[in-house]
Amino acid sequence: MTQRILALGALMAITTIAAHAQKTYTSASDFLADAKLSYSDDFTSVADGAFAGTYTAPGGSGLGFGVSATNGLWSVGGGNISTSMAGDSLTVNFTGGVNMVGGSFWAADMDGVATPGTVTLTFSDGGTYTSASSAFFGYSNANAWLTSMTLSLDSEYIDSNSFSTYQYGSLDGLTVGQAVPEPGTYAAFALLGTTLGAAVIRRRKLAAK
Amino acid sequence: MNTRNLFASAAVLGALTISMSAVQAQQTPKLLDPTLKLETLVSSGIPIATSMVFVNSTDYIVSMKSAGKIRLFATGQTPVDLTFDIPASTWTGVAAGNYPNLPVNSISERGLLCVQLHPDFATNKYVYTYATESSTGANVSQAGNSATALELSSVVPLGNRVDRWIYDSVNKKLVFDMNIIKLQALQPVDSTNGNTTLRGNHNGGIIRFEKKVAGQPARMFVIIGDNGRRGMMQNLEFGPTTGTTRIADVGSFGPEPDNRALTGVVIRLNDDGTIPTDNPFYNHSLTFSGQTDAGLQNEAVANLKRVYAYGIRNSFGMAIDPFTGKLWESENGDDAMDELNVIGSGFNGGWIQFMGPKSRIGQFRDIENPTTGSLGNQNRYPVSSISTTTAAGEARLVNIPGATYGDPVFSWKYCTAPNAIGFINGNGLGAKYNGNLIVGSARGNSGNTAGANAYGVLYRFVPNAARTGLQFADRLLTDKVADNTTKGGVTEQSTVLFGTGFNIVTDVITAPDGSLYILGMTSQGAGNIFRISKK
Repeated sequence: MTQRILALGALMAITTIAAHAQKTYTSASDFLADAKLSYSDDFTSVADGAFAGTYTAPGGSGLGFGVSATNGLWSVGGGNISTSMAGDSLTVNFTGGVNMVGGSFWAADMDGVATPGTVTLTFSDGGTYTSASSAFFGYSNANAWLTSMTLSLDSEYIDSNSFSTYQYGSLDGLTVGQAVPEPGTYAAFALLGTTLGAAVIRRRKLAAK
Repeated sequence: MNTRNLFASAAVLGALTISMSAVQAQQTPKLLDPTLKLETLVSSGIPIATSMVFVNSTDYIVSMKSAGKIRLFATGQTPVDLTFDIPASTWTGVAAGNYPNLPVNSISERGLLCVQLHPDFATNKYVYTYATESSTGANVSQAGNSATALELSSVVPLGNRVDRWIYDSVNKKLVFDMNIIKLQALQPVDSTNGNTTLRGNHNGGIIRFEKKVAGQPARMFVIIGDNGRRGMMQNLEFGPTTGTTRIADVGSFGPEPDNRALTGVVIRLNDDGTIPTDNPFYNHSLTFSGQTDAGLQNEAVANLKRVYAYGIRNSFGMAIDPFTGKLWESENGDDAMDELNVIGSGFNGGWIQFMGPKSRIGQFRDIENPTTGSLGNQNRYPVSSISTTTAAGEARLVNIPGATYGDPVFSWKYCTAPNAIGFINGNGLGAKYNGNLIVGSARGNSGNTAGANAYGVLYRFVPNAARTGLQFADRLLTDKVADNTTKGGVTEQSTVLFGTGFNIVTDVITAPDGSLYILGMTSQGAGNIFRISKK
């Protein structure tokens, strides 16, 4: 009986974890509270103007990332990364075992000022998020490592007067982290649950004979 | 006019110095946006068409540079050329009568260059023309491969004239009403100062009316190029010299803006030619004491009141922003730094001290070649006289009280020969195009000589939120200069390219139905009219 209760408990835990594996944050402090490890870059080292190639973050806590865009990167106003070409996607590749990503993500005009346009974040686990502001947004997946993120948007924002504004995908304060527990732990839980579940089923079958 | 003459005139009009091999490449116009539809409405009958304007919701008129004619295209009717009722003593060598054309000198960049309507045309029927008056009473066109001295000189000295006509829609004619102004046309030889050749270029020739203000007369902008002059309106206070000893032009006129030296300017006039009292220099107190001829001095004092902007080299394009009323202008460099400008009251465009952003004076000077360059064969003030630093150039600007130097809102490092410009007014081409500025360029994209992508393009520019300048999809253009590496080179322009193969574009207007009309000509000078709409 005791074994059955344990097995049921394990299965319930697995179900709960699966249901809440992907989590979003609107508070940076809440996001960091869930992180065992984290690394943040505010891009203050990036000079205004064109940035050729991939921006590779210095990294920390064993975590890091690289940012790139098809037609190159651009910085304006100090301390952010955006695209050189309106409508280009920003691609961020993560290193070191990342399952949490947070920061500010927005559509900016040529001078770096936020437009009312929306940006869409697409994570390597299939998760997506659409935002129309530069307020903090965080995302985590308890069950999978995140290897990349893409920020996409329309090249022009059309306002109510039918005037166009070119817009550029922009990000700042990019923070990557590992959640507590990290996906490897969840995997162990899942393995344990599967084992226990199989044992319960096997015992039931044996008892029925 | 034979084909060769058309060819030459067309090339000169739109591209200034475009090479023969360049204009011989006949291209098929096409648009880059597949959601837009391009139709050819007219492809014959309007040689070297220079401007067009709708007279009602469907019908329009087109001016022809060398023929001196204006053709009416009315829905469901065969196109017809309007005739001109010209009174005695109005047009040199022309007796009173009704004529099929205006007798124009169309050598080089002269001719019937513009036709426009008064904002209240529906009620007053006023039509305005900008034309170069022949001195013979008949059309003077180029007969050979190059213009002769006789052809170049067969022009009334103040032959670039703006006239007002009254449209008789029943008899399909224009009845002379009044002359608005007569501007410089004959460019004299100045052997003493190194200018040994007659020329016929830099006449400008665009008329645009301001947005009408209730209770005030309609006001027009008229642009004339520098016409080869080198005086105060070209930021040369003492004439063609870097010194301070005054050098007058041939005939003792200039460098003050007397009638023969009122060039390289945008003038702003009431619809009857009188001077608006809110012009930027209307209340000036300059006396031009360097000019000892009292008559010329008085002309200069009066003319400065007419000036809205100066320091302009030459232009084939002006447009009024339909949303702000601001005046925009395209400007041709010689070899370096074509420009787009937003011209406010008292604007000083910087020519001859600057072309392009003043910070780029080194490139301007280098490309024009300080060793051998003559800035359009005007040897009186060669490239070597251009300052080597921005500060030195600024120190040489002629600062008329009330004037403000303005950098261009966009430049091409190497010339691309921008010509007509016009705004898209409304959503006829789709929402994103509303308020965009379309710019024709005779030489544009010639860096790509493959097939239909070569020669004669349309650019699409998106004004910024305040509509005081431009925004760019490619942030490499935030320095406001397309850093191409050859004349017509394509570098940094892929995001502003709108159409290719349009050859020479002479007018861009939004039609009453919301579609966009492009007036232009083939490399052989055959006028054509395109209509762009949403599929």
